[in-house]
Amino acid sequence: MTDEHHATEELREARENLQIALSSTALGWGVLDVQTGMLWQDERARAILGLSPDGPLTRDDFMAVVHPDDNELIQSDYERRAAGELDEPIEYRILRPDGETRIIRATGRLRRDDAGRPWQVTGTLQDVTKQRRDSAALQRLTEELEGLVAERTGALQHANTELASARDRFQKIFNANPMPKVIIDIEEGVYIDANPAFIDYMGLTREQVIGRRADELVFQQPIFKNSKELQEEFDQQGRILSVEATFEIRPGDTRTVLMSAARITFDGRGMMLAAITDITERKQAEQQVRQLASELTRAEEKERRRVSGILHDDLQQRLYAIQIELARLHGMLAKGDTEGIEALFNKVSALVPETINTARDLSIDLNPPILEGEGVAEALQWLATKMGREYGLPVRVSAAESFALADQGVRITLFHVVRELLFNVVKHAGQAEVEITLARRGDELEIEVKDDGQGFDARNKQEVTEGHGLTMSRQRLELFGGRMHIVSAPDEGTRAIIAVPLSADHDGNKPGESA
Amino acid sequence: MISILLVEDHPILSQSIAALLDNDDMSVTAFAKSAEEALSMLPQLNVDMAVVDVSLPGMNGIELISHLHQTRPGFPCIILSGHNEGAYVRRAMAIGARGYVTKGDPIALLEGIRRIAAGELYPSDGLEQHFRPGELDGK
Repeated sequence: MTDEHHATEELREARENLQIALSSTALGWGVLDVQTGMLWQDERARAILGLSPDGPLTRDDFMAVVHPDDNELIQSDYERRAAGELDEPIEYRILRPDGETRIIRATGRLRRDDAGRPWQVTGTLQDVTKQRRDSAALQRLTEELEGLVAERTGALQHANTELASARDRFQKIFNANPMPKVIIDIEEGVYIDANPAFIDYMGLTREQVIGRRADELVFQQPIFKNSKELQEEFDQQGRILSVEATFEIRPGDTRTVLMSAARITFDGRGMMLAAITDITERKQAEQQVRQLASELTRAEEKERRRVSGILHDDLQQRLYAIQIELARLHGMLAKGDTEGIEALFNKVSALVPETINTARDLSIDLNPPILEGEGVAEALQWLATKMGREYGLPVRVSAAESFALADQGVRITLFHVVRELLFNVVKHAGQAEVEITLARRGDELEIEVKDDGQGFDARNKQEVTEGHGLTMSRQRLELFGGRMHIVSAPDEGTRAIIAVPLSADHDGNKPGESA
Repeated sequence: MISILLVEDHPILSQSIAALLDNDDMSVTAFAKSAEEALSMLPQLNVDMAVVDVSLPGMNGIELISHLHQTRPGFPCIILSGHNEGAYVRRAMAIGARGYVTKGDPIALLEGIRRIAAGELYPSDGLEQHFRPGELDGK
């Protein structure tokens, strides 16, 4: 065996061994003779590149399957490899005869001949299309996933910001609300939060409220009319609206409130957001209005009976008398009693004007014409004269101006209130004289009614209201935004000071106040 | 001569009624301004009948008749009233009034006094309608 033969034999063995080694992988391998351009490739390499399984190959055959866009890459790679500058694997695309594009990963090493010239490039190649495509898909998926994660993270951050901002808004609204509001932990029954209006309303400090139970804060718990039904309504619908309740906030201080509540979740716990509106004063005002209406009805009834009494007891009887006299006159005419006729005629002639006077007095008494358009001063002067004439009560009126109030209701009320005061003087004061003074005090008309009679104990509320029937007068004044103050003591006379706004409208509102 | 007690609180009307009743066959011989006054006067009076205003201060005319009949059962009384409603008329007659005359009918008052003096019942014209046929006979 020659050395050459020996060497060839060794090479063949080495190739076979390599083939055996490569057969378990998907690698193909080949050798390019740099000087001749002849290319030797094993079956796997040919199959990968889509070249014919047998027959000689040249570098040009190889270049024919390289993707046109990667020609330059291969060329440059080859030159750099040939120059010994590059030893790294390369990836390029091929366009197989069946039209399919594949991605090839190749390695190559330049070998030189004994003279040191480039001789052979040996290398492996592998179809990595699937890996690369999988990898690209994976990359795409990863990017998509990262995009989604970023998007979700952004949304979460936005939601967190919104939540923080909503909490902040809620807290601001909660705290700034003038209506007393609390948040109560439903399970524990303790106050978790309370706005300043609630703290103020309870007359406590924040420390005295937070963490305490409702029954620890008030003297007596709220009493609802249908507490069982309300509990059911709250449990089922998660809210109750404007339910009336009364409770004793402090001993003797009973308040009436409208309570609304809604179930909310706060930090994962079930809470009740409750708001209360104190309607104690409104209820009292309603009660006062009802009482006033009832008293007005009684007063109207009394007035009707008085008018009916005057009509029946006097006017009607006078008319019956006239009727009887006319019947007598008729009888005398039949008898020709000339003397009797003249006497009777004179009697009837006197009866008729008296009757007319009675009717006119009644009409004036019911609706004094002085109240139609005249000032308050003139109306009270007329009343003073009338009281002097009918009851012998000396009344002096002094006023710097006429006080022509636009609102007839106020004029009539003032007239009746002063008349009531003067009747009280007639009934209770004994021998007395009265001075009425009208004066402007700021934007109010002040009327002082002062007598020098026996007076009474004005501190005795019962005597003022029941004995002197002044409750209704006071309430009627209040309807027009006015008020009355009584100063009196036994043997010291009585002073009543009445004040009404000079420009009150029918609802008793002063200018600039909204209803 | 029929002698009459007039119970009427209004002085002018009282005078006119007395003048109306001042006739040959009748005359007001006593005056009372209230039922209470009439009841206190009556035992000392010698009168044939009373003309009573239904509407008096304090005790009213109907109550007066009721009280009066406790001591003088059947004493003739005639009610003078401004009302001509059936209920008033029936109530007055039921309590024992012999007559019921509306104030607006002076001639009926004269007629009523005469009829009652003769032992009859007398609701003035138009008031009979408030009674069933025969109800006013026989009393």
